[in-house]
Amino acid sequence: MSDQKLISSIRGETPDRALAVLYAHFPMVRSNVLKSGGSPQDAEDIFQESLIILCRNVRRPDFVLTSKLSTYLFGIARNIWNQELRSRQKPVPPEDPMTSDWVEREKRARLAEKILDELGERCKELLLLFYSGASIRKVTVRMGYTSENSAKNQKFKCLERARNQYKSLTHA
Amino acid sequence: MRNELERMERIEQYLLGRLSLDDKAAFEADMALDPTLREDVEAQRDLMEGADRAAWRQRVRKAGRRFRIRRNTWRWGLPGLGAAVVAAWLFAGHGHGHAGDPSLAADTLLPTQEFTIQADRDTSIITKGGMVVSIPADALGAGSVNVRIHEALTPAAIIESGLSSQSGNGLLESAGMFRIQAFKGGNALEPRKPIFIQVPTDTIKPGMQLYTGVPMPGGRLDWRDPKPLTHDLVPVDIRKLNFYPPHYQDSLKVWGYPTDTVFADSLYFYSGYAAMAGSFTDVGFAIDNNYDKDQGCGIDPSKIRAIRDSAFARTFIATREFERRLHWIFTFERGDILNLYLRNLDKDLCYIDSMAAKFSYGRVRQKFQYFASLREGNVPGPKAHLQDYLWKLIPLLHSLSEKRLSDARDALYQSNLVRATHMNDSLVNAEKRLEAEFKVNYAEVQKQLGIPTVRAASPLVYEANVTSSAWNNIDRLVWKATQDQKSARITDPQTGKQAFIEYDSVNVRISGANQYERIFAYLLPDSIDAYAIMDREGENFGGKQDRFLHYSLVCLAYKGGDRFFYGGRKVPPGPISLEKIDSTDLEGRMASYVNHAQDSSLIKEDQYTIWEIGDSRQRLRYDSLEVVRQKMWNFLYPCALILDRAVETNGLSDTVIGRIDQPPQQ
Repeated sequence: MSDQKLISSIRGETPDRALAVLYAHFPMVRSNVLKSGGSPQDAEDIFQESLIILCRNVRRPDFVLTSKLSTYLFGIARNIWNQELRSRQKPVPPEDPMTSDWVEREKRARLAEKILDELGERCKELLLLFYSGASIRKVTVRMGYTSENSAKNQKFKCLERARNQYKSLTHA
Repeated sequence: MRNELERMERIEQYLLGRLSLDDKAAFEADMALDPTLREDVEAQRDLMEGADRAAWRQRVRKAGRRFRIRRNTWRWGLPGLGAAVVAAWLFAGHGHGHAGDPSLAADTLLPTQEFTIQADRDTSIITKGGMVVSIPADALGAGSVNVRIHEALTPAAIIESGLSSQSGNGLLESAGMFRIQAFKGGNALEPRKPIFIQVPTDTIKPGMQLYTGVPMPGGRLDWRDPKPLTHDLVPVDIRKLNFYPPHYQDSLKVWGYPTDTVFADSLYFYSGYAAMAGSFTDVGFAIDNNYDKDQGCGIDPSKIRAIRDSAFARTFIATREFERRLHWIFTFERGDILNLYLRNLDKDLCYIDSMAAKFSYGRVRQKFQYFASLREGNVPGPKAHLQDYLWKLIPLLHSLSEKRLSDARDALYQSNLVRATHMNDSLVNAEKRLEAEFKVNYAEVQKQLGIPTVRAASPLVYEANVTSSAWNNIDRLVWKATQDQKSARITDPQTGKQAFIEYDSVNVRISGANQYERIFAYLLPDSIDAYAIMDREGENFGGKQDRFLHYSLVCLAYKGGDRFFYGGRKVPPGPISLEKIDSTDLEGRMASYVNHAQDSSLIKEDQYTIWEIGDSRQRLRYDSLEVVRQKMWNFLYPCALILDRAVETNGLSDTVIGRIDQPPQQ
């Protein structure tokens, strides 16, 4: 699949196919991580994290691909692995020149994702459904609420809990 | 609280870019002034991003799992099946005296391995080639015994030692040759019990047999008298085998469900399928057919259901040996390994075991290598036709379960629609009643205040050019009294005159109200096209009556498919009892208490209630199945939890009506 096809697949309804193709780069990232002292688990975490970031970046309207998509993926992986090494107070190779405007954004989003994880499955699923673009009707039926209004109320209650939790963490 | 929700909604609209240009500008101006709002906007944006990440994480994990499965398939390749292979073995010192012929070249060309053992103990010898020779106590008499072993386990060693694999006029494929001799004080010994030999191999090939070498003139050995290495399996009654996942029946017992086969079966095959395909109550969603049925996550219950067919009574499926393997297949959640067995009904178990080991690693691999080492074969007899039958049966059963589930979901969806429509009808009725009652009250108040009026008052249409604030005020007071169903005194500020709206509480006790499945008491105002449902508290029913109206009372109750009725021109002071009526009588019975519109509403209510009783029973059944499904899911498909779906450990949505934690009535 060409890079252009991959990108439109990520932007469209069939990201699973693109992910299957991109996953073929895992062994490369894995060997890099292992070489610099990471565990197999690290390798998998780093690679999956990179894929998430890549997809999220690709879906941004201002995204422009300036290299091959695989190069871009390796760049992201290198970047976050370096961050990880730094946080473990390990020596880090010289900083990658690649611009990384997403670093801060992803850091915040990752924290938010953690908060959502801790909300409990029901709340998490509800918010995920809403923000993945499901219609309120679909959400109501799927989650078994009696009315669209109660689905909406429930959503905002969950969101409020998450927001309070998030604010208390970011301001601590 | 309400405001907070609206505020959050507005923030969301802003973040999703759904505000109009003006609203957006206003919102941004608010933000500039209000640091808390700014913070909340940021937090909410981050959380939306977090939700997006979480969704991507699910997809990426799924891709990862698929990737690993594909890679393993490539790495191990698919073994070719069906080549008839036979091994040649030399087993000397066991019966056929000729084998001990000292003139055999191999005896001198191959290095001799000598061991001294105590024959009255169990002894295992490991040779240089990795062969394990297990000699049970007393097999070679007692005391100190010398064991001499020659082995040629590789093709090179076989050729160098001058051995051949000729058997009659044919050639055998050899997995190794060996000779074991035992001596005590220079005399050759014959084993009195079988000596157990394990020859190392990379793959167990089907059809390997043990041959005995008979020396022929010219120093050559002819391999004769083949004995199969595997032992045949003895089938047992297939219904007596436990093909359920480990702990399934224990769990049923712990949860207080019946453990009889009929119940356990229906629950496993139905709920088990649903557990794989998603919730019973996930209505309105297509069944997820992309679930990785054969890719190492969970076992499709349709397969288990298929192999319990008595057609397989003469295959390895109907053996304790297979039952043990199935137990581990469940434990490791390896649907692919199960397929391996089910696609090779004609092969020996140990051959399939070794393939299963090849397809796995770690703990799973060890387990199936162990099984392979047991050299368990198959049940004798033809099986080719059963293979086809099985793989026609599985998809059939699978689609049956699928259909049952999708029917259940469709029914539930329809039921939701009917209920929602009814709820809407009730609201319409309540609104209609309120509006009509208001008109009555309003007219009465105007009469009491001596205001001649022709204006039609409606609470829902306020007219713009009210001439006096006083009338407007009265409107609202009357509306409020009507809405709250509370007595009120209304004073005309211009004339000082007073008017009264009065509501009385009425109560009625219905003897034996609790014995009915459903019971309703309706208050029917004579001049209004709507009705009121009295509030119930045990046997007592309460409501409000507007003194300007006259009310009849109609009670309807339902039990075991029967209707019970009471009708009165007013609410009586003492307790009342209902009387059983024929369903066709209902309209006639009601006739003297209701007007035309009320009549058709109550008939509709009655029909709904009859439907609702049946529907609730059905929902209860689904609900209790759903309870078990979620419980089972956690241990039947733990790997599914890390995929897309996860259940809250404490169970269910709070919105499902009438949930009970009881076994379904099947």
